[in-house]
Amino acid sequence: METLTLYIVSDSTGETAEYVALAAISQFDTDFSKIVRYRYVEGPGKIDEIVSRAADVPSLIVCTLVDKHTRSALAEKSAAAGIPFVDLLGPMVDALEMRLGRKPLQAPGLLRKLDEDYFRKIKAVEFAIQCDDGRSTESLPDADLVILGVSRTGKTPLSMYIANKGFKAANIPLIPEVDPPEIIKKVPSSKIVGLIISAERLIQIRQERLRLLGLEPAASAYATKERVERELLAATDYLKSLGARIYDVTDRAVEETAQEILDFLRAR
Amino acid sequence: MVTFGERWNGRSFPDEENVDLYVLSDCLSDVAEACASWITRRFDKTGIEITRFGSLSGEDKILEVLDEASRSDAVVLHCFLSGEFRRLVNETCLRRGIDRYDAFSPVLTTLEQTAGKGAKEDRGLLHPMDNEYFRRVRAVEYTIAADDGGNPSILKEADVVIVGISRTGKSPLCMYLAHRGVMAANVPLVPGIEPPPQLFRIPPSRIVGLIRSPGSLGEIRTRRMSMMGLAPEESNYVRSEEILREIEYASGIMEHLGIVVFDVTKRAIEETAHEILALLAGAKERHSFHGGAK
Repeated sequence: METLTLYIVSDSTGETAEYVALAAISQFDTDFSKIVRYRYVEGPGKIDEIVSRAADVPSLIVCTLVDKHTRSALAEKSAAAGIPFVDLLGPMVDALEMRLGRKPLQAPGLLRKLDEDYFRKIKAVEFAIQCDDGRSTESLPDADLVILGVSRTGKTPLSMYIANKGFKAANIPLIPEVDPPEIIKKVPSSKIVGLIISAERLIQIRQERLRLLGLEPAASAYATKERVERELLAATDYLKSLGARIYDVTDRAVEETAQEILDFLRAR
Repeated sequence: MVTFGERWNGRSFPDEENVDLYVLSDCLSDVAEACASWITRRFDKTGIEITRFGSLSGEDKILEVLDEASRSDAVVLHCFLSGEFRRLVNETCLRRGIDRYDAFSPVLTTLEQTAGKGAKEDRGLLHPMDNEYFRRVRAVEYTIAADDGGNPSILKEADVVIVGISRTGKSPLCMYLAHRGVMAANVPLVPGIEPPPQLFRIPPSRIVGLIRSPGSLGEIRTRRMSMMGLAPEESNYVRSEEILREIEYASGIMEHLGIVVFDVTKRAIEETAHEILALLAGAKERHSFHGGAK
């Protein structure tokens, strides 16, 4: 496949369709020319424009629309123009409408509600910022998740990713010279996760970090094999003593680890 | 037990008050979650009880979950990267008359047809640690460092600076943008406290102001104070004349800066974020290929 333009048509932000489509596209050697998003599409008015633009180049149209009329118009016109089209989640909404015996809400007003979820997310992000890098440890008992790990294991991005999903995450660095705060013992072990990483990879990351700061890696113990190996050993021991769940983040993207943690948090 | 086909063909069945929705996935649990959340929002988050089964990695466990789904007459929504598991779930549901929706296959199959070859089913490809990835990580780190007016000396590095009074949602908005790879700083506008001088040296095209209606601000702040165990009525923070004064002050600065201002009253973070992303993309390209936004 050479290049493909992805057309997202949604009655709200289109993020769900984008998520699904990007995950699928990652599984092919596809070059993207671009993603074109049509958001807050409320009726069939825009359909002709969308389809005629999509017909110009190799395209895929994915829609998340509640309104059946708009959906079927888009399906028909895409088919007539020979453009691959996916009605994502539409059939599911129809099935649920039948089972629940009531009509789905028509977008776009529904996203705008400042509901519990909205406040939960805001609170979670604020909490995570406040409790980043071992700060505000007095708030630890309120955390949904406490992330521990030695320097440069990616605690901060992981905390923020999880906070964006509405969970209050704190993170605390494990530094050989500084004992973790006592209050950590008040956090149930089910809420504690530890990050470990291979020594080779951590040395690399720390060397890069030092260079970025304009320092010579060799001049500091921070990125030496001996120091890194000792830190990791001590961290693993300590994490085990806390009964934390341990994740190896060597060559793993934040999203991957976050997802496993979120699966765990949501299953509770 | 009524099968999906029977329902589809219009066989009558009593309307249900509540439907159990089982959400099954392997490494695609974030995608599955996005789909489930989209669905429940469409039904006003009522009447649909979600149970999640993420990171599924064995046939036995999947069959066990489907057993349970069948017993409780649940609807199954699934999202699997593994073609083997997708087939297993689809076939089992069909055989046992469980309503199911396969969220990943439609797009994947369409792509397979277009590409003329099969998907790789490699989870490593889902979250590549490429330049884009490290840009996002850097953006998150930057955004924390530059949250709430912190480190004004790094303000000039921002892709965008968000300004607004308290409770306009600056931090969550910045964090959302950071996850999209945008280095987003935010500076609170507080009457009596001068914004950092660095702010006035940023090109106005890179600053965005947030405002919210006085009523909505009062509501949010009252809530915030009760949450902190404080009595809202005694505080300046929620008094309407004080809020009006803050809004007036902030509007004055925004006007002086000559920046784009978004009213975030009754708006989701995502909505404002997408408008800002479009604005930034437009500033880069001048012709925006952003479609249907208002």
